[in-house]
Amino acid sequence: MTQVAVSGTAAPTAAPASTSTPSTPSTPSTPATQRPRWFRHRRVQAAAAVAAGLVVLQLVLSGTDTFPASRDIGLAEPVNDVKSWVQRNRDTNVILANVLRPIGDAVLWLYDTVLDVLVDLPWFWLPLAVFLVIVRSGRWGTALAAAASLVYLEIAGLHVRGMETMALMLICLVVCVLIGAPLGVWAGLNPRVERLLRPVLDGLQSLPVSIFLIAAVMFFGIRQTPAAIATIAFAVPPMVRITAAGIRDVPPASVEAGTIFGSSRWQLLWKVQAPQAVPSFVTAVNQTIMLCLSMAVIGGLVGAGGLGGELIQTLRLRSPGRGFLIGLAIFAIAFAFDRLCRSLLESGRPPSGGRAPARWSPTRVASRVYWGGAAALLAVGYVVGRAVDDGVVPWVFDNDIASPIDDAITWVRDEWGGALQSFSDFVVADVVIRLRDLLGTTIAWPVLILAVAALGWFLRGWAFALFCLIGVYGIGALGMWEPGLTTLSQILVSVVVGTAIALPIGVAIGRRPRAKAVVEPILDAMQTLPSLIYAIPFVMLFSLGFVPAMLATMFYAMPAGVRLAALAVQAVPEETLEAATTFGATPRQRMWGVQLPLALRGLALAANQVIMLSISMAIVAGMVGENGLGYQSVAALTKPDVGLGLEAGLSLLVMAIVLDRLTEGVAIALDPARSRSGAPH
Amino acid sequence: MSTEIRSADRPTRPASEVPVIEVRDLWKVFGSRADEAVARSREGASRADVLASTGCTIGVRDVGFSVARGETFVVMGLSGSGKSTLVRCLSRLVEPTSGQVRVDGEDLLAMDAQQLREVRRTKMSMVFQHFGLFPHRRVIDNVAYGLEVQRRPKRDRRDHAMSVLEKVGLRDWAMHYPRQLSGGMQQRVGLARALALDPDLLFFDEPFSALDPLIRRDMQDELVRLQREEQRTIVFITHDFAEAIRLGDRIAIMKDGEFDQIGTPEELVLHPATDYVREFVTDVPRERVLTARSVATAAPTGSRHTVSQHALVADVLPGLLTDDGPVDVVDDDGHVIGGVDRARVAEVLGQVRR
Repeated sequence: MTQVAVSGTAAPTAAPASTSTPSTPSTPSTPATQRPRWFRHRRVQAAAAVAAGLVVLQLVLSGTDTFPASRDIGLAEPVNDVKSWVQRNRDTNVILANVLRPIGDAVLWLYDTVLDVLVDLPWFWLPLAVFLVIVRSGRWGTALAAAASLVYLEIAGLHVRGMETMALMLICLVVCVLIGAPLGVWAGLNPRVERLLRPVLDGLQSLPVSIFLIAAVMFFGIRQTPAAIATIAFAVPPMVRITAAGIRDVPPASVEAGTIFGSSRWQLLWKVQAPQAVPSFVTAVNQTIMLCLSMAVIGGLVGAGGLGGELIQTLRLRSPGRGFLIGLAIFAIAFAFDRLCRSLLESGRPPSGGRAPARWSPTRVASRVYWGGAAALLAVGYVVGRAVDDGVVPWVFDNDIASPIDDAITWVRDEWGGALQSFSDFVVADVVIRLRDLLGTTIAWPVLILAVAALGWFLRGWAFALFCLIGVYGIGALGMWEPGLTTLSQILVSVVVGTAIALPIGVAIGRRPRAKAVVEPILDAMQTLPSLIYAIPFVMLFSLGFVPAMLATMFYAMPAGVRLAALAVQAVPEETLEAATTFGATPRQRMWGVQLPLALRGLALAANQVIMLSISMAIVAGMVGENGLGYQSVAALTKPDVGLGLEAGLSLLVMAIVLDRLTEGVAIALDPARSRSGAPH
Repeated sequence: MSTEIRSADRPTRPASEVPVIEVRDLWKVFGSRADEAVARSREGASRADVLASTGCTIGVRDVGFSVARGETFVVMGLSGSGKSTLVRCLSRLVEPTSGQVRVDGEDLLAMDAQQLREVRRTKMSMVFQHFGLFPHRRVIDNVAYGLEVQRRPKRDRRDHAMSVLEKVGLRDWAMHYPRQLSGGMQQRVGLARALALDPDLLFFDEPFSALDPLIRRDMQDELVRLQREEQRTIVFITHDFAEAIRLGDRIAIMKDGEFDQIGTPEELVLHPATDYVREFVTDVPRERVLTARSVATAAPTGSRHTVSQHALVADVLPGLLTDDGPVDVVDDDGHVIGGVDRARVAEVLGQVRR
């Protein structure tokens, strides 16, 4: 998108250069002579014509105002009308009173019940339980660390807040499993169900977080209920997907063997398929926990309380020390549950190689004894813990540490404030604002829309071009043109920088297994973090504003980019590289001439992932000072203003789809296999 | 002298006995317009034409055969010939498009799920190319699986599984998981699992092709040994002609979904029906396939030594070369039906590499 936009403004003299711009992504590695003829001629000429047309149009329209407010279709009003109608008729309308309200009440009841139980737990109880489960897999260190992280929650004085978050997370998890697991199994068994579900899941997964929250607020008001509903809708798709994949990936020979020995369908499922899908199922649960936690935190925006609510408050009050402590607590929960799931995976795996378990499975007997003992210990622990001080942790540091952190931050700001400030100023004034002005003021809005559509046509074809045309115009028609441009320019900057950092790292570790062993755990840890956590260190340094928002976005999106880039490089067959070596290529030649060209498509997909994650970060960015669509969403959720939220959410959705398909189109165009098959031999 | 004669020295079976499995006009077409594809193929359209015009792939085309009790029937074909599809049609792991499959005289294709399950539990089992073991179950529970789904008590089925494991020499590995075993041992588990049900009918889908040559040979010997102990009815799929010759009482050569020829190894070697079959048999060591009966000259030699008509030339040869005289060939009743001498053997084997 930038490329056309930039070339479009590059003045008429630059027109010849601009014509080739759209095709540059597809040419860097392969010599032009290998390009199929149509690619060299007709399409490039057509692209040139379109680009020239855009330049002319730009010249004609230059100086045009921004997207006119008169074209705003005013979606917010009817939506808000619906919302107030829902509120008014909550008790009288058949559907509202008999379906939605009971659901809401049930969720709230569930939440309160679970919360009561959790809050009553003695402070050491959860850490102990987590420890006992993890240590079963033989990992003492991990078990201790996970337990310690939950103890931290207590001594930080965040018992109640933490339990609120955990209660919300747990009820969402349970519902997600209850809905997702059977659906996943069904889809895994029956390809027709899977085909039916796929578009629904795709749709749900491409929606921005704020849409879920807004929709939930519309029907369920505020507090925990909408947060839970939104979380569930958000977290069920991966549960279904991963479970289905687990069932589907059971080796066909295993299923055939089960069938030929006369299993009934249930026997086949329970004795053959489900046991082999358990690892996938646990992975799905782990994913779901992380998504639930992430959403439960963001649920703080709509009054769900918990650590999220507290954190958002500290962001507003600008008390970075306390924010840090809360962020750490959220991380602690994520860490403990993640390790818990991993240890379950590990102890459930049948051994491969090495010594055999002793005859007649002493492990099973031992396991009964172990879990029996653990349960007894926990029961005693509960009783004893309740008896002593009602189970309240004996020592809490709370502000003892928060204020020193505040002091430290103040010191850092005083000491390097100038440097930080000028960095911040540079990014804001010289990069983001300029880019935004370029997109919003220099380029006339119709030219921008047409340019996006032209790019869509070039990369994905007519249908998608039409979607771009309507979608991008729609952003304006929703009244979100200005915030949209702001978000776009911020995302573009953080994506460009993030990709520029992530891809080389990914390539480097993809080529060196030892480096990978070092970086992998860091990536693991980063990808476990709930999105809001990323904002905290940058807010501490920069306070609220553009820059921390962009940095948080960047760091949130980078690990996936690194990982995918590494995978792309590793996917190049070893044999191909060996062939290159055999023919005498130097390591450098091998990398630039063979490995990278073959990995190009994968690298483009890594960049695509960075973009998608950056967009999904918009709402968090909005909390820490992004002032585009993310901010609009946050503002809409806190008020709550459902209409505004829907407008901002839909605009984000359009932006996500357009950028996704465009970068995917680049990836397709870069696929070395494609250009090979298209070449006339 | 007749010790190593695998198959050919089996008494002829009474013709009246119902074959264990009987297949007629069996078709399997993949794709939504299967009926149309069958019709076109019947009219003589080639596989490629059918694919182009209907989008359907023909897996099995009009196949018929029957296997008698105790017989080993080998289906030999290269990859893509439809042999794996065929064996799956015989157990309805893949639903045939049309035709008839009778097991012990019962129509398999007419059965409902319940009946089919019953047949699978009691009459047939299968050994898979990639073993198809359950990685999450111990070896013994793999072997006992067939009994488990029949809800036999645990102790009962484990005892039984243990005795079968003993038969294949894996007693000590019962409590291991499949992944802890070598490929050859895993396939022994696969074999034990199939034998545990004491089935009338055993399907082997290229069971040894994933093993390396020496182990493959071992497993073939093992199968020959088990067959000698208790003769089971076997349908054996392979792409290895030497394996087919080694194990098969009769061999069907499959190409493009249909049978080119069915016959004993000897018949295939002596009278290949098509060029395709001929290509396979040219490299076969004839002395391991031809029997004394088929090389015997009409005139008895009057020798003191006699051999059974079913004896392989390879087994007769050492005698001919060390002892001086020729030998007489006798039929099952001991009547002399002809003679074999060095010259005759040299003549027959000489035809091998023309």
